Amino acid sequence: MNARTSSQRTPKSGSDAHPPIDTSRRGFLKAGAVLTALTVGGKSLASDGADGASKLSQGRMGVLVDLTRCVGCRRCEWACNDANDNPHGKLEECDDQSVFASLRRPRTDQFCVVNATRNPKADPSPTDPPIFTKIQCMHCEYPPCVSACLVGAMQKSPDGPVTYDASKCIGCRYCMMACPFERLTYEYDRRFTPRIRKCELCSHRTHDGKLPACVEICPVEALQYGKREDLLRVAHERIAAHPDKYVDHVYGESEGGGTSWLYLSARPFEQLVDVGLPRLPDKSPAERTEHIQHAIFKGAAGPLGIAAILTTLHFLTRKGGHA
Amino acid sequence: MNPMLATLVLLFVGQTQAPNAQPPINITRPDKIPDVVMLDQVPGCYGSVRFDHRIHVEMSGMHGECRNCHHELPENAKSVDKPDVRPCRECHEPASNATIDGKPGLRGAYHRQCLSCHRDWTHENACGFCHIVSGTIRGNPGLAQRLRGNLQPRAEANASYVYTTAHKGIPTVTFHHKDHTERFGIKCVECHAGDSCNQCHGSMAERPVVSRQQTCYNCHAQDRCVTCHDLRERPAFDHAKRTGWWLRPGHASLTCNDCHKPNEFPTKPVTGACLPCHAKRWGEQGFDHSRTGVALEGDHAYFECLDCHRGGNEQMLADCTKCHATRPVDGPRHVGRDNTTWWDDRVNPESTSTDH
Repeated sequence: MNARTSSQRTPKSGSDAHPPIDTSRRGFLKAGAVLTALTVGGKSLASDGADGASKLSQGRMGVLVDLTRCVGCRRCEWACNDANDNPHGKLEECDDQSVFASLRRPRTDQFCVVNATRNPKADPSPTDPPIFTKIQCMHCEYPPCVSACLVGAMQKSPDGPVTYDASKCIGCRYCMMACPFERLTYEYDRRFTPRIRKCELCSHRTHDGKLPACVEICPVEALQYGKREDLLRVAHERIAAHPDKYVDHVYGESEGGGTSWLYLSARPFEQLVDVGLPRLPDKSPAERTEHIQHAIFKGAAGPLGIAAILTTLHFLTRKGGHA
Repeated sequence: MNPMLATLVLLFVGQTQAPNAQPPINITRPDKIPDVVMLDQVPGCYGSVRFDHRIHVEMSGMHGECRNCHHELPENAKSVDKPDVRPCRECHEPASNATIDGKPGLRGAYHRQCLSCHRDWTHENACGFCHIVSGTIRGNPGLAQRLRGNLQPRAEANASYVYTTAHKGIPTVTFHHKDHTERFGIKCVECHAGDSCNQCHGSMAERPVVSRQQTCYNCHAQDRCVTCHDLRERPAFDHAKRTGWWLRPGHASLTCNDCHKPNEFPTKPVTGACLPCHAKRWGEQGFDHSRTGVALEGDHAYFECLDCHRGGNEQMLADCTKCHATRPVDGPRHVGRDNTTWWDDRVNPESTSTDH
């Protein structure tokens, strides 16, 4: 069914950042061993972690979601499935509202889902429609999944999307563990070639000048695609223009170090934790871990220091042994 | 005068007077609004929309009027004609505008405008509700007609609401909603102006909170605190108990404003309110005095109202002592037309009235 794999769809993100290498697992291990041997100072093979964010372009793209506009029509789910060759029924089947009875997460065959939040103050009522929240890969500014990836299968493209190259993936699923939004899914049911599956911000469409599928189909223009800095400006302008309508916060501006997907809401974001907008510190976890890691390994200081200590101990103990 | 100059002066005068001379925009002119607008400029997965413009105009009379949708309508609009009222498609482009902010594309504008009500009232997100799809409302004009007027849930309210206010001495305010709407004849919009339709048409889970400053004070500005505030919940308004004036059968069907001036009745006395009905003799007005329990027969038939009701207040008990020597000691006995004597026979000798 999936005629086009992630790697085929996003040739730029993978191959431009790295020299072409043998992409078989054995080849990877060989290359890894050689490179590890050659690399001075224990520099990580996957060097495009959180520090790779410094490569982000000024005009990197994102999507602004105005939750006050979303009516829960779920057309974005359908368009996403259609654009990514995931199984989907007729468009009218999106009218089924029973799916909102439970909270859903993205699956291997559906990269975005819409969840509903009832107003905790009152019973469900026609005058009190729920908040509908579309969730998918947030395309972090400093993506922990990229940082955690041992082999560089996850990449943060300078223009925004976090892309995945199945041909490099070794299936360790560290990225799944690292993702603070719990958005990554893994094809456990595929025997030989399981892949991580996630939204790639429709890189295959945007490279052709199209809008992301979900943005294009949204009938109320609740989703808007544009440069992240423009979207942030627009979001703050909207809050300033309608302070009674929005809570004064743009989710994703700083959460987890910032995300490409930005959310505006009428109700406090604390109420949207369950449906997929968790409270996160302003700094990406990847920033902290990489900071520690890079401090230790900078200029090979750590390994050389340890080697020096061990060598010293060795000589000391040898002399001592003879003495 | 130079004809050119005169023309210029006329033009100038005409322009300066025009904004004041024109009456405010009147949406009720049925000849000026389209009945149905076909919304078919947006290409998409669904059929076009047959928008019943007239129904929505009627509903918009509650508040907002044309500006609910035609939000660019200037304040000094002179008519419901173009170019003051422009259709959506003249400003909003058919192409999607999902990339930049500002003016939504036509599709987004339509959906956001329509769904702001249709979503809240009915949770009816199904596209076929508006779009012409076979087997749906718009694809079936007969069904649409039957649904007319029944789509929004009834606006229901409690008979009364009890509020605990910040007033330290007498914190409780009992607001008798039913009295205000049914007995006092206050229209919904007089208090709820600006509330969206779905705040009342729908579940009673959340009522719109009406601002006291804006609404109660419109009528109660001159009243003392105790007019509304009390130590405990207060029963509904009883005209007899509160004013000492029984609304006897003849007046039971009247609304407050029939006798009281609007917005003044809580404090102002009745001023000439009886005259429209009671100015002339009862008989000439078709008023049957026997309905009060006293048939005006014999000499009584020739009395003016003020001959008996000297206080000028027709509801006041008649003063009979002008003719009759004594008053009944245990109050009037209402007897109707059977000529039963209900005063004693002692008649004031100065009086010529020897009836009964």
